Amino acid sequence: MQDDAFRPDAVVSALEEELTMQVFSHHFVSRVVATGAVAVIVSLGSSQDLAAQTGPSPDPANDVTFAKDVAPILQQNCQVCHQPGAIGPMSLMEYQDVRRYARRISRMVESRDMPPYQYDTDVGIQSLKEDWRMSDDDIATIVAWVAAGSPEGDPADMPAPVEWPDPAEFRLADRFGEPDVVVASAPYDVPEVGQDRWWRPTTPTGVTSDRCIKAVETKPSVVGRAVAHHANSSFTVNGERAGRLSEYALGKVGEIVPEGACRRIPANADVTWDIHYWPNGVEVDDDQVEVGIWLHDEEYAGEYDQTLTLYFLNGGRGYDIAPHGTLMTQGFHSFDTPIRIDSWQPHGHTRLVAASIQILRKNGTLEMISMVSNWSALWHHSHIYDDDISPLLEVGDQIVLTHWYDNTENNRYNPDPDQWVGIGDRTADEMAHAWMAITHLDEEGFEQIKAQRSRPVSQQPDRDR
Amino acid sequence: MKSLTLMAVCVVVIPHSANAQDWTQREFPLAPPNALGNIVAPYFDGFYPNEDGTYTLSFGFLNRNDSELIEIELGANNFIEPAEFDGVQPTSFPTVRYSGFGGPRERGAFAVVVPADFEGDVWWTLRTNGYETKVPGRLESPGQIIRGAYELSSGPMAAGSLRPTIHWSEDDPGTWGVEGSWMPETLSATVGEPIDLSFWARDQGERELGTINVSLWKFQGPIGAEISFESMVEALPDARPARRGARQPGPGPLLTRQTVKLPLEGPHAHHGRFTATFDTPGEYVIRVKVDSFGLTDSSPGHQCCWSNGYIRVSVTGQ
Repeated sequence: MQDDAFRPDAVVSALEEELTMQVFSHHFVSRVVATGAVAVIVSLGSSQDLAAQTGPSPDPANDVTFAKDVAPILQQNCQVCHQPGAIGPMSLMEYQDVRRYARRISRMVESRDMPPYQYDTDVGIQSLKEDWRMSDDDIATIVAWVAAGSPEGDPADMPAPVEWPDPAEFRLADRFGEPDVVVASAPYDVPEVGQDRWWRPTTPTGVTSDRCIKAVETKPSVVGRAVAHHANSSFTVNGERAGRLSEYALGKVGEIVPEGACRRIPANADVTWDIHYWPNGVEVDDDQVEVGIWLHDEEYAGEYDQTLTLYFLNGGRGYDIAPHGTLMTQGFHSFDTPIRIDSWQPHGHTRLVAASIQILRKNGTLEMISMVSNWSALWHHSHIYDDDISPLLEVGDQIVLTHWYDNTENNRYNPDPDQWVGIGDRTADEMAHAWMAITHLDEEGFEQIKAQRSRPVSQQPDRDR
Repeated sequence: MKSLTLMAVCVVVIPHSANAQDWTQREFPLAPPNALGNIVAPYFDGFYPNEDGTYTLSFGFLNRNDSELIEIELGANNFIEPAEFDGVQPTSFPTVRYSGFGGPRERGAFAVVVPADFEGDVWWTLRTNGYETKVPGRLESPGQIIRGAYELSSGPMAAGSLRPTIHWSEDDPGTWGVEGSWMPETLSATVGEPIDLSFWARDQGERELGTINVSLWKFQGPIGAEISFESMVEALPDARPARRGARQPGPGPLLTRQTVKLPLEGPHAHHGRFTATFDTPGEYVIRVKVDSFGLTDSSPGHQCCWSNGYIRVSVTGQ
């Protein structure tokens, strides 16, 4: 039955058009493979794009070319994933490779499905750290290049190749160097098929004094990236909870703690993992997730504590989404001290289609902070606000979190619109929460930050961008 | 630094069935949750591939009320299609509230086994207060990207947990799984007279073996009839007093959803000893749920690890 259930010819054209470029598309598609189908992702739609190569010959004097205009954009935005051995399903290193997928590239960048950083460009805060969004000019260049027939141009115009870091290395190492502390989870054998698993080992940090974290990155193994849905880590001291270290979900890079704040690592703490594996058609033996921690100097204490916390929507009552139905749910959070929101990362699964964060001020005004209108469970980004614009809340202000779910056929990631969908740990179920890194201020600190922001840029302290 | 939390829920439902009523007429954005008068939704949890080539389709439910028990007798308002699978579903749908991401949903209340060459869907339909809800159990799904219906596992979870076994006698080799094991005989009872319920449940995890939790449920029976359960199981030596409002360990009355931990050692090791008293004559099925919830890899939200047992009871009047 299983072999009959998943036929290669049943893979719809929409999949070919939209998913080949999804870096993690094999995560879902190989789930089909896991239950008896064929591997399709590496061959999807190439014939369609080959047909697209017969465009008009461009005038090399006037048109944009691959060598001069497009290759630098791909280097900056795409090649980190789209190179041999990396997680992208095809290489975008050479002209012939790129030309083959030219029309699809144009569609994907124009729709902002790629690069995979789902964050609305026309509402809320736009100044973010580790922002993967492509600029409007770069998108226009690619679209114009494809419309002109995807000319190669003069190979002499090609930029020098980029020396890419080892995909097994920490991404934040580019910025901060090698982590000061690396903690690995105990090995676990992830089966090829079967239901989700939750692996919760405990490993020591080896850090013997209280320290403040500068940045943290959770990194699945290269082969394990397709099966590690999330990997959360918390500190425990003598078996007692001692704060959250980090959160990782598919596609996330890491978290950077703003200057002046302290996300604390307690002395002699252990790291307790909560790793959600999703068997995905690939058996992964002895998989280990690592968390890299960059520490401030021992003297650094930070003025205020920063915490990373899961904030629920949905009232804890649970929720259910009817077959072919939609759902909107909200969560409201307030604090007993002034705060600064340093990052926001909505979390849901395949029926979540959009998310937003707003602030309801105590005077009744409502401010939109961030909106994601094309949510994808394939990528979980912690949207880190620039230091000079991270939202400040007074006591009495409230954070308003909103999620929209779509259990209809219109949601391309929906596995089955006929099903009722409710809360649950499994990827097949749904979740409704947001991870937020919040710095807990006092009145003095709150006023100080406000005053700094009102100064001319030249008088402001160095900002961490 | 403390976070104060206020939350609300807004549900907008588009009915699928053409003959279903329009729920949008009775559900409003940010309305407070309903204590009663709501519907029960049937859920399909996924399928288990079996060694003999058959498949076990697991079903559960979600009572959307905050407190009201919903009961729907088998028949026109509670049926499974194809009809060959009908009759094994519950008629009693209590509200549940599991911690973490377990939520208000009861998973794996029953299952049906379809043959290796089965094609199509197994639909479970419920009608509550005039509203129709239904769900298909299936082996493949129609999604654009994800075509595989959710495949459940019978093997060990990450830390080695497996579904516990349930035994109807001490030397019964035992069975396990969501599809459940039926007590071989039908018990007889008289209204108002307690009868003994006896069974054994064992952890079979590939790790240090632990205690098993037992809960008893009215699964099928006359609408409105109540079963009073009482536990005879002694509190474990290391049992802590329950939090305020929760059931205290040891012998005493047992409500649906409340659990009792079975001892690992002693003269009554692994032995579930309860009584059931009925207030109405009729034919009943009691669901015995045995689980290892509380371990790192076992919880309702994880879809593991529990097994079902079912006891038929024929009750006559006094």
